[in-house]
Amino acid sequence: MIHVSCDEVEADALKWAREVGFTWPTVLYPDLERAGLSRYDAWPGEVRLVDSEGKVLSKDLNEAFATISGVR
Amino acid sequence: MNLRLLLATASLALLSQGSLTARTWTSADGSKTFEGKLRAVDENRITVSVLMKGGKLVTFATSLLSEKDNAFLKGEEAQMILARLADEGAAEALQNQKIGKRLTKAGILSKIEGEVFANHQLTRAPEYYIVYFSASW
Repeated sequence: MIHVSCDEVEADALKWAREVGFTWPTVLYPDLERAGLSRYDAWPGEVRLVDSEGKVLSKDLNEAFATISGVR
Repeated sequence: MNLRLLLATASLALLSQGSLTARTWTSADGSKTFEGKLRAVDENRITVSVLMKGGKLVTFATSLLSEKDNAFLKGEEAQMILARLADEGAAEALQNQKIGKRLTKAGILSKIEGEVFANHQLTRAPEYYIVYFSASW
């Protein structure tokens, strides 16, 4: 799970992530472009299930979890 | 120098001085020896893979090895070698991924540590990534 914060101010991102307990690896907003994740054109609250090549497999959270739980 | 630091220094010295290089392995009956680098051990330590001097990777039963070699495989030094090999394998696998390559760039990933976001590096190369976009607003 990769968390992408769309908060422009790091302190806001930190406060929100701490409040909701998001302890996953995080990409902060200023690094979104460099991380190659801006191309997913997602809004806050949305998810993208992507493969290792970055191809979007799903935009639905439940479907994403169902897909990865079937992998092994 | 405290004990923990001393042990860590000794462990690093061990790794840098040859644990990742070839060691001499001895057969269970002590009649044969060969040189090779430890590359893998299965979960139950039933088989071991050794990279032979000539570059061939050989996997065989640990029961064919001496007690000393089996003790080595159970020991901390072997665990450190295997952990380092796993790290190197993951790093290489991440570099071969489009998404992993970008996420491993310096300063891209961070993780909450106490009161701040601290630099973070992936230690595995996942097949899939769930990317969750958030905002406080």
